[in-house]
Amino acid sequence: MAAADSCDGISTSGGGWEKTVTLVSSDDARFEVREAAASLSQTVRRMIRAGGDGGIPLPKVDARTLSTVLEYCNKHAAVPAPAPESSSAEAAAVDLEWFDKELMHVDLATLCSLIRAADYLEVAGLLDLTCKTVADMIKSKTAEEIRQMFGIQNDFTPEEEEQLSRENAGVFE
Amino acid sequence: MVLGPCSADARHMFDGMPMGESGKNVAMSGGSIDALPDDILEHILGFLPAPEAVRTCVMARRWRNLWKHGTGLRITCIADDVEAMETVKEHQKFGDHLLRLRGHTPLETCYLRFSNFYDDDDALLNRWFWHVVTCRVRMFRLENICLDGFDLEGMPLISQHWMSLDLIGLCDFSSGPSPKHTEISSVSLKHLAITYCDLAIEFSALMPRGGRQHVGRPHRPVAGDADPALLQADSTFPCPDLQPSCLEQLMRERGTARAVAARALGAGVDELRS
Repeated sequence: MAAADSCDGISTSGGGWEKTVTLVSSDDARFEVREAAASLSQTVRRMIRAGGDGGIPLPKVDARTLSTVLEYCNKHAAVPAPAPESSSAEAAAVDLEWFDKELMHVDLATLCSLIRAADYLEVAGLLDLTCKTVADMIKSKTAEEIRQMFGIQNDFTPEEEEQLSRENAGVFE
Repeated sequence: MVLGPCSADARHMFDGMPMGESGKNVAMSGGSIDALPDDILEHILGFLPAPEAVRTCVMARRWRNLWKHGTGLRITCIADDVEAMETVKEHQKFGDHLLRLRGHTPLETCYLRFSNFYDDDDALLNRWFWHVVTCRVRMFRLENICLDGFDLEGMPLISQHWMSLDLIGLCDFSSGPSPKHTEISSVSLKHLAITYCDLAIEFSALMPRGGRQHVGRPHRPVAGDADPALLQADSTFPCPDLQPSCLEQLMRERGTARAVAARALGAGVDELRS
């Protein structure tokens, strides 16, 4: 999808006029985005409604993270709503799934930044996607493997571990 | 419920489990998952199958109770070995214990999948189903993959919290060859899918402009002698946004079910069912 050109908030895209908004990251990078895409963020949607000049400040999201979030929003907002069960709907779903999978090929620190950004910006689809990605990493691993992967310290005392295993014996056996 | 004796050191609960393929593109060390707030970790745990979510309690103190607040619950009572029998019964201890520990903490999503059950498992599955409903679940998928007919009790199905409801492989044995009238009432429901069900379902809710949306009998028969074309049929009924005031109007129009709905609306369906 072509990036929208800035023109006082109005730009051409796909032959039509589309309203755009400017988002400003914590490190002062400015992003001109179609309003339809930016509105996938409930936080941004509320700020658009509230109005204001000079772009929408997003002080909790840096430029690198915001650009990935917007990549997601642009892709997902671009998908028209075809008739359910049509072949084009199926193809669009497969394409989106592929796009989402590719977008999640990031390191753990980036993934955490994306989770925080999706939560702050209230992009529900991206929050689910990123959280599910972490859940998939946890799947089928031992507790020790998960601790290592995420850098989590086991702070249980031996007595607490004993108690835990006693409590959970009925569930885990 | 009787708990078994202490059988395992918590430290070794995961030992022997295979390494997963997933997540191989992500750096395997560092990161700041543990720095994420509790509500996000709870959301993450909601994407795990229930047993794996519960097992994270042994990781560290902070994780001990996180699973109890997971926003999703995924319970699958299907044995790896298709020949295995009584698989629902085998999960009874786990399922009952899990639901007792997590109580009525609100749920966003629940997937309850099962197969190979016997008549007396119906009560167990119904207990789980209604427990989950009282957790104000918003997206609920109840899937009987065996297609041998699971009898869901406690009709009509009423919740002011459902956004999405998928019912698969349900039937109604209580009224002989002709299925009794089954009613689903929800003011919040936006997606309703009824698949491989032998139910005469009526979805009662009012359209925004005041007309009631009826969903007739989806299709029957189900398993066994069913026409393959029918078995593949899938009935999905998009539901429009519905206003709370519509339920009140609906309640005035109808009889017994309305009394239940009125109580559900007034007292909260959780109190009604618990």
